[in-house]
Amino acid sequence: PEPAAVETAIKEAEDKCASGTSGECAAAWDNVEEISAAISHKKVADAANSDPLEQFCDDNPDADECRVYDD
Amino acid sequence: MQTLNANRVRATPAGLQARSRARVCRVQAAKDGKTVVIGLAADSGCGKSTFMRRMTSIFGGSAKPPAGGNPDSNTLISDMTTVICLDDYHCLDRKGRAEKGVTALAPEAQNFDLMYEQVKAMKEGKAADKPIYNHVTGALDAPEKIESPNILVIEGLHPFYDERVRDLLDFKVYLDISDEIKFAWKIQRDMAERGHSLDSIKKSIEARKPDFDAYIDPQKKHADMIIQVLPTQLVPDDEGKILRVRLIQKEGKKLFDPVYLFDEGSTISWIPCGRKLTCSFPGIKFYYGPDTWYGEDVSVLEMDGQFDKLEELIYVESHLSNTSAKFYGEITQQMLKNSSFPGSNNGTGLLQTIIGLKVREVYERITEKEVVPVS
Repeated sequence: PEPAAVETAIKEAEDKCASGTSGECAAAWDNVEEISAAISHKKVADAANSDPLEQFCDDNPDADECRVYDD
Repeated sequence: MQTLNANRVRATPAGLQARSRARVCRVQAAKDGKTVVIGLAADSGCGKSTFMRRMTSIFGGSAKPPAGGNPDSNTLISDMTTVICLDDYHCLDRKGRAEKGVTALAPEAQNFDLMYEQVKAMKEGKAADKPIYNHVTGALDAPEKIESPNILVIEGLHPFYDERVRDLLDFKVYLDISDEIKFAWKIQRDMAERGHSLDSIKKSIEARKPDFDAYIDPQKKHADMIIQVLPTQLVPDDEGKILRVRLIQKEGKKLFDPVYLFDEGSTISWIPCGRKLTCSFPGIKFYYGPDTWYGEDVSVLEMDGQFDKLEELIYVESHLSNTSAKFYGEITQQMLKNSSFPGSNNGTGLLQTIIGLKVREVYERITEKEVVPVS
C-alpha cells in the first residue's frame, strides 16, 4: 500500500468514531493497523533485498562476479 | 559486500552451482507423509515474522514465497518448512468487515471450517488450495496450491481458537506482549509514517483491545510455550527499550523437556555480569523457577536486560540445560547468524531461538528422524 493509504485510513477511522457505531469505529482502526503492518513488512522485505550485487547475481548467476563453487 | 566477495575468491573451480543451491541443501529428511504442525499465535505487530525467521533458520535454507504465484502471497516455503498466515482464512474481506462493523480479530471474520479442513488435509499429506488474503488490497484473492510439507507452521491471530484446529497442532506457541511494550513497538514501527501520531497509535490499540481481550488473549492458556515480553525491572524505562522476557514452559509434555538454569526445579536468581561477562548499565538478570499457568505446572526462564557483545552469550548458554541444542554453542551461533534481526541483544532473540530448537526436537520425536544442524 502507498504511504498515503495510512493517512486516508486514519482520517476515515476518526470520522467513523465520531459518527458511526463502536463496531464500525473498531473496524476502521483495525484497518489502520492492518495497513501499517503491511507497510512495515514491506520495508523489512525491501531492506533484505537491498544489496545491488545480490540483486544482479540473482538474475545472472553465471557472471564472473557471481560464480560460487561448492568445493 | 566485502564478505560476499571474500566468499567468491575462496571458491575453486569444480562444478558451477546455482547460487541459491550452493548456500542451502543441509537438511537430510525427505517428505514421507508425516507432517508435524506447529501453531504460533500473536497480535499484529508483535514480532511474529521475526520469530518465524529465527525458527525457519534453524532448519536451513531461505524461506521464499511460492515461485511464480501471487506476488502478495503470505506463504513462505523452504526445504523443510511451510509457513501459512491464517489471515488467508478471513471470510470477510476489508470491505466486508467495515460494512458489518467487525475487526479482523473477531471470530465472525474467520472461516474456521475451511481452516480445519485444509490444515487437516496437509497434516495427512494432501495438498490444499488455500485462499490468499491480500494485505495490500484487503481483498480475498484466487487460491494458491500448497503441498504438504515436513513441518507446517500456521501463524496468526486464531491458531488455537477453534478446538478442531487446536487438536491438530503438535506444538503451540503464544507471543504475549504487554500493553506497554506493544505501544512502544508500534511507536517505533509507525511514528515515521505520514499521518500517524502518538494519538492515532494509542487510539488504534484501544479500539482493538476489547476484541483482543475477548478472542485472542484467552488462547494463551492452551499454549505449550509462551514468550512474555514485559518492561524491565532493572531501571525505570518508559520507552520499552530494555525488556524483561519470560519463557513459560508447560511441564510433563511428551514431545519436549523444558529448559532449566543450573538445577532443575529450583528457584534461582542469577546475575551473570562480572569478570566473565561484560555488562554495561543496567546489566543482565536471569530468573528460573516453577510456577503455575491457568492451573497447570510450568517452568519459567526469564531474562531481564541486554547483551553488549553477542559472542558472550556462550557464557550464558553454557549454564542452561535441556536446550535441545545439538552441539555446544548452537544457540549462540544461531543468534550470531541472525544478529541483524530485532531482539538479538535481549531475551526475545534468545528465548525465540530456544523455542526454535524445541520445534526441531518435537519434529524429531514425532518422525523419529534426525535433522542435521545448520551452520
